[in-house]
Amino acid sequence: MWKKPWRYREGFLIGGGLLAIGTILQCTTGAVEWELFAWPVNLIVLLLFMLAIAIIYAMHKKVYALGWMMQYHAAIPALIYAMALTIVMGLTVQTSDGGIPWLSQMLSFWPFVLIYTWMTLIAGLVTIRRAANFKMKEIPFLLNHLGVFMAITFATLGYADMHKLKMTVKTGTPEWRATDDNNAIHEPGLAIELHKFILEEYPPKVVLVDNETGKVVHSKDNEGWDIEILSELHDAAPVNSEDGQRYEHWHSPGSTCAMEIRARRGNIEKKGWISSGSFVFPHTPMNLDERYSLAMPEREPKRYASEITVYTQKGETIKGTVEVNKPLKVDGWKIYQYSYDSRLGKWSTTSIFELVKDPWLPFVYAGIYMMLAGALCLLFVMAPKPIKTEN
Amino acid sequence: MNWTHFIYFALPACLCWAAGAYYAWKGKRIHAFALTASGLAIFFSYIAGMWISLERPPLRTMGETRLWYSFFLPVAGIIVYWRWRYKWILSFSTLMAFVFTCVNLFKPEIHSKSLMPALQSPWFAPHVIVYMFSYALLGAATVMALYILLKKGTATEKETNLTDNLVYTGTAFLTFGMLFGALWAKEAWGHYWAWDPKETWAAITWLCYIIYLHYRKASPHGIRTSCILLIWAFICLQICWWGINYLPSAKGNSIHTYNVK
Repeated sequence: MWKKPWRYREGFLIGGGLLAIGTILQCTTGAVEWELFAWPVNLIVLLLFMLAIAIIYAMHKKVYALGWMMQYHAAIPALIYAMALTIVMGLTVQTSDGGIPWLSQMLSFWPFVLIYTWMTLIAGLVTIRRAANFKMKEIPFLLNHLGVFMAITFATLGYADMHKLKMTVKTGTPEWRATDDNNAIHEPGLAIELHKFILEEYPPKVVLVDNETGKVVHSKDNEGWDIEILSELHDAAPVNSEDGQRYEHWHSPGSTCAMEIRARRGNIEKKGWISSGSFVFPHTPMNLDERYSLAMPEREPKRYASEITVYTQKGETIKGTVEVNKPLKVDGWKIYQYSYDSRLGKWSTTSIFELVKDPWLPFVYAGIYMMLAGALCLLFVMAPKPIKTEN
Repeated sequence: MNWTHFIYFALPACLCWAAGAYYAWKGKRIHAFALTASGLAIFFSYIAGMWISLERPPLRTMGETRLWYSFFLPVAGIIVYWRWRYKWILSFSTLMAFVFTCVNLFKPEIHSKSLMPALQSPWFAPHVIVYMFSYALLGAATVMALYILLKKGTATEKETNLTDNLVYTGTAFLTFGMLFGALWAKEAWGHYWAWDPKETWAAITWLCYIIYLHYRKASPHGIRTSCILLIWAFICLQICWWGINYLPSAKGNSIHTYNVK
C-alpha cells in the first residue's frame, strides 16, 4: 500500500479518510451550516478553492500525490463514494430536522460535503491540466468537466445567497411585505397588486361510486347503467322545488357545477342532479341503487394565473400575468404563481406568490449549458467509432 | 382514439417487428429494415392518435411512458443493426418491446385527459422523450453486459465497442433528460435542483454511468467489472423510473408523482 504507482486502493483509502474526517467534524462542530456561506464568505471560499486548484496544479509534477489526483485512480473512487452517499440519501427520508441523525440532513452532513468537494476538486484539476495544454480536441473534455465543476461549485456556494419569499396578495390591496420559511417578514423592494385571480378547470366528470366504500368504480359499461347528461350548468345553485332539488344558473361566489342526469338500466329509470359542491353548497351525489351512486368529483384545475401589476423601487410599473410554468421576471426577482385560497377555488380573491432571487444563477446555468454541449460531444465526438464487420 | 384501440396497432406493429427480426437472422437486411420501420410507423400512429385525442402528449402516466419505451426499443435496435449488423439485436428489441406492450395491454391504467398546470410546459415532451430513449439504449447496453458476463465470460473488441457506444449515446440522452428537467424545474418550481427523491435517484443513475465511462478508459481490460457496473447502473435506473414509488423514503415526499395519481 502507498507504493507507487498509486492505484484504486489508494483512492478508496483517501475517500475513506475523508469519511472519517467528516465524521469527526460532524461530531465536533455539528452539521455544515450553509447560511454561513452568504456573501462575501462564498466569494472568499471560491477564491480559496481556485487558489488551491492553482497551487496543486503548479506542484503536481513535484509532489507525487498531487499529480496522482488528476488520474482515473483518484477520480473513480471519488465518484463511487459520491454515488454511495447519494444512494444513502435516496434511501433515507430527507427532512429539515428530525429523522435519522445525520443521514436525514445529508446535504449538511460533513462526509457527504467532503466527498462532493473532493470529486469537484478533481474535476477542477483535470480541467486546468487539459486547458493548460489546450488543443481543439480537448473541447469536449473541457465542456463536460468544467460544466460539472461550475454547476456544482456555484450552485453550492450560491445557495446561501438565494432568497425565497412568499407573498400573499388580496385583490385590490397592493402588498410589499413577504415572509421567508421561518415566517420572518422581509421587504423585497417591490410591491404587487392583484387585479384578478383566474382558475380554469377541466370539464366536469361523472363517476360511478360504490356506496359502501365511497370509492370510484372503473367499469366500461357503468355496471349496466346507461347514463345520459340532460343539462350541464357551470355556475349553479340548488333550488328546492315540489319535485325535489334542482339546480339553476347562478353566477355568484360559491356557485357550483351541476349536471342533470338520466340513468337507465333495464326498466329502471332514475333522473336527478349531481354537483361537485363548493365552499357554500355541499357536494350532491345521485343514488342509483343499493350498490352504486353517481357523483361529480371536484373539477381538476387546468390553469391558474394571476393578473398583476408590479411596482419597483425605481418607480417602474410592470403589468403581467403570472401562471404555473410562466414566472414573471422583475428587478432580479422571479415571481412564481405558488398557491391561492383553495377553499374558495375559482372564487379565490387571494393569490400567493413565490419570489426567488438567485444572483449566482447565471454561473450555474453557464455550467449546465456546457454540460449540455458536452453531452452533444459525447454523442458525436467522444463515442468510439463503430466497428463494422459482416457476420 | 383510446386504450381500447391499442391492440389493433400493437399487434400489427409487434408482428412487423418480429418479421423484421426473422429476416435479420436470415441476413435479408432490406426486409428487416422495411418491416421494422413499418412496425414503428404503425406504433407511432397510435401514439400520435392518443396525443391528438388526449389533447396533450401521452407522457404523464406510467402506461404512457411504457408506450414510448416500447417504441424506442426497436428504434435503438434498428440503429444498432444498421451500424453493427448484429443479427440478434432486432430479436431482442422486439422481445422487449413486446413485453412492455403486453404490460399495457393486460394492465391498462386509468388514463385521463387532464394535465395539471405544473406539467403544461414546452419542456414536458423533450424531458420525458429523451429519458425514454436513453432508457431504451441503456437497457440494450445492459443486455449486452449480461450476455458478455453470463454467456461468454469475455468479450470481443466488437462487443465492447457496441456496449460502449450504447452507453455513450444513452448517457448523452440521460444528461439531456436530467438537465432539461433542471431548466424546467427552475421555471415551474423556482429552483433547478431541489434533491427531490426522483432527482436524487436521477443523480445516482447518472453517476453510475459516469463511473462506467471513466472505468472503461482507466481499465479497458476490466470487462467483468464494467459489465457488473452496467447491471448495477440499470438497477438504479429502474429505481429512479418506477422503483421510487415503492421506496418508503420517497413515498409522499416526491413532487414527481403525476404518474401514480
